[in-house]
Amino acid sequence: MSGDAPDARLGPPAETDHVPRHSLTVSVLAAAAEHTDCTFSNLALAGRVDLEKLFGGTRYEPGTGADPLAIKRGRLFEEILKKDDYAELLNLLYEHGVAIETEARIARLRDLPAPAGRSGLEVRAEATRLELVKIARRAWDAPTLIDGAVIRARIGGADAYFEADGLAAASNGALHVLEAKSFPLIDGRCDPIKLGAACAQAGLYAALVRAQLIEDHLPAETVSDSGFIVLPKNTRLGRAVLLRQNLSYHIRRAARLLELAHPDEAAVKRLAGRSFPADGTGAAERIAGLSHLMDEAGTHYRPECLEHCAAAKLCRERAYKAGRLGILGDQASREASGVESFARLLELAAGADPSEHERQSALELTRARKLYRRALKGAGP
Amino acid sequence: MSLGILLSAEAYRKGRAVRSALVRHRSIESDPIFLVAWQNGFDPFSCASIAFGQGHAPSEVFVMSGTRDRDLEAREFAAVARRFCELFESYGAASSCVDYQGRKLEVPVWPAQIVIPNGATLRLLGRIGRRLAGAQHPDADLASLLRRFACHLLWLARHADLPGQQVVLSCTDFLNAHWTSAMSALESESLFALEAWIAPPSHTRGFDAAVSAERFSAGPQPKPEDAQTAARLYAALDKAGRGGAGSSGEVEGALVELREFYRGLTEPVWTLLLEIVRRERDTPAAAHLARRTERDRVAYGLHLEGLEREVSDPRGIRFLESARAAALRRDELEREAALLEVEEAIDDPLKMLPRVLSGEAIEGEVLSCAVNRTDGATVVLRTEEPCTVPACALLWWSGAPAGRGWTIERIDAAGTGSKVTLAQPIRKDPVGCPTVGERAIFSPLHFDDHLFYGLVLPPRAPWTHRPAA
Ligand code: SF4
Repeated sequence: MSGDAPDARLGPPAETDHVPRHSLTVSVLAAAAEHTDCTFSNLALAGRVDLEKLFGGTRYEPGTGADPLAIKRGRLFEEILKKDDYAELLNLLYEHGVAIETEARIARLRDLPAPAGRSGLEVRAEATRLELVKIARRAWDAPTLIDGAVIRARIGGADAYFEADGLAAASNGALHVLEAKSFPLIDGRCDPIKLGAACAQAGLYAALVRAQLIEDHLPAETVSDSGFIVLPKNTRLGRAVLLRQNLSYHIRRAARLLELAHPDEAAVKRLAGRSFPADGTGAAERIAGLSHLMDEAGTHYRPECLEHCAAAKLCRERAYKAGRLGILGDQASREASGVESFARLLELAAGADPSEHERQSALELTRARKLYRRALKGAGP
Repeated sequence: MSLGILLSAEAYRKGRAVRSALVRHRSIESDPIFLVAWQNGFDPFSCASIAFGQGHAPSEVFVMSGTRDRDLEAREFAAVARRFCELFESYGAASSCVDYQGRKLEVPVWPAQIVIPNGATLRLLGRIGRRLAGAQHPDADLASLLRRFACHLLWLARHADLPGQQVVLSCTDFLNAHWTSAMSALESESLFALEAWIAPPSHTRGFDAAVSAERFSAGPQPKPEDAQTAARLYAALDKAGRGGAGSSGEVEGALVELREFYRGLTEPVWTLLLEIVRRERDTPAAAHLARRTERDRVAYGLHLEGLEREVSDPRGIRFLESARAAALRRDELEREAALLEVEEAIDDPLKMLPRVLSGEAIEGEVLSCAVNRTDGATVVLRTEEPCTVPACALLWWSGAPAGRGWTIERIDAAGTGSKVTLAQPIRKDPVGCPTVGERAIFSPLHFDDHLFYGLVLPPRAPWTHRPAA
């Protein structure tokens, strides 16, 4: 299994840059899926550049980090699920029509004797691969659940290991992705945003497993489009409930992201010789370097970036200073079609000559301005 | 194109938010309850801290120990519940009687109001209510107190869904409905950032003020750094608690630290809420607030009237509605939303503007107005832009939205705009006509009778099939 270091430099590979990097996790990939239209972010993803670290100590520091108490809740729920050899979970799967053998076989990959760190992941990834092969071939000893699966994928020209906290359940040669989350389902309802995010993660696992099966010349359809989100039932953590979800949209989206997570050849060529700033350089220098790279690579700031990208505060400031309408969100850009900036919008509203593609917006803007002023005048003393 | 983008561009140019409403569309009562709550990351159906009180008195900050001991947890909630019920029910102490569906109903003289930072706080209150609704405890009085508290919280969460209600005043929703900044909807959810755009410090642009204000949270989710501190303090409390009988001093010490921490988080939010209410109260109130205040008083009166029954109902508080109840509720929400839209547009030319911009309404100068007992009334309006409303359309003059409609009879080109002739059939009463020379708006918005009368459904579902028992 090759383990070549990812190239954080945008030109030819460099052995000794000091660019901070992080390992790819499913949540990093899921976050990246939200802005595949940004070249800068794609380059950072492909090079595994740790943007959070690069912005650390600057005034653009993202201020992220999960709530430790929420993490504790998640862990406790997982422990509850694992109780009695996943008895409750297996029962629920059975109720949902997933055929479970009388003797469910659980592949416990976390218990494998493996060294810590990357080589441990490699061992688990290989074990996962073998279990997947058994499922796809409907072997008599195929597992019902894989606990602690690790999926290997090639991202940005290097191997990445994804530790699935989601589990895989097999039934009749079909594999369903399971994603356990600790937000509850109450009165038949749960937080739709969190459910959407859980489905996106499950979709990524499904896409990764499919890619793995294809690599092994096995049918990708082994991974079912329908996955399960496991949630606590009611306000306490004690009982679980399964939500069957159609993941086909999320799987397609994830597959596209995996394709995109390779450095864009054209961008790499264009930016040959440039690199992300190294760790340890001064804050001002780092920001200047990042800004410069953003100028050259190109960005596509949208307000949603604030939720997903560590570079968002810098990008927002740059977009604000440039007076881009995009800082309001996609809808504003769509409504004022052909108009890029606040300054131009105000000029057009005041009656400036529009270009061909600004004509419709200009008409509406002048009218809106006139009516607005009249309304204010009418309300005046 | 929405008016919002133009206003955002104005805000960008000026470096501060601009008003998107000329009047205040929600009432702000003289002595509302202010409430700030913090979420417990471990349990979304509990809270870490809650502070409430009337603006004139400093808030009391309750802190929950995050204990897994159900008895202790119930006692902690009981302290909050006792104070909250006392405060919230005090609005009912001075009451008057109104006619309600053919009977007398006691309603509060001073309408109840709770000012909270944002919609997320309301959702947290709803979740706490949901959790406590099923509270069981060997101490019957305590269980009943918790259920009483739950009833209030669930009622607040449900009533807050009603468009235009004023019992719960969520400040972010209120400010976003009255101001426009150059921030996205996502950023406008931060009360501190929003306020920074509305009232930035002198010589500071709204953007810079908002960026620096974003380091504060108005709850219920603390900022990530604060969540780390909270986790550390809870871990210390947990450790002290595990120390056994001799560790009560350590437990108390850890609780004091936790209390101080949440007091520190709460204070800036509390000050901000007071400041927002003080400033916004100065804006003239919209004319139709009175109807909605009256509706809220009746709703509160009904809530208090049914409270004892609900608290003592052995079947507990019900959450799932029957199909009939769901249909009636949907009808109520839709009618209220439509009514609110009409009221706001009639009260405020800026809220009517989107209708004019979209071409559904016309605005212009009244050239003539003739009222004739035999032929009816005719108004000729001169608009600056070509009239895009088709002939024969039925419109209402915004000065008499409860009156009869006007039909567009003719549209003639006049300069850059149109000359629109509107007519009303024979009328005995000349009230409800604009005067010559004034600017008038004719729109489809009006007080249709159906907005005031709810859906009538048979008491039993009319379909023959029944869900399996
Ligand atoms: S914040 Fe900037 S770098 Fe990140 S995705 Fe958005 S535009 Fe790209």
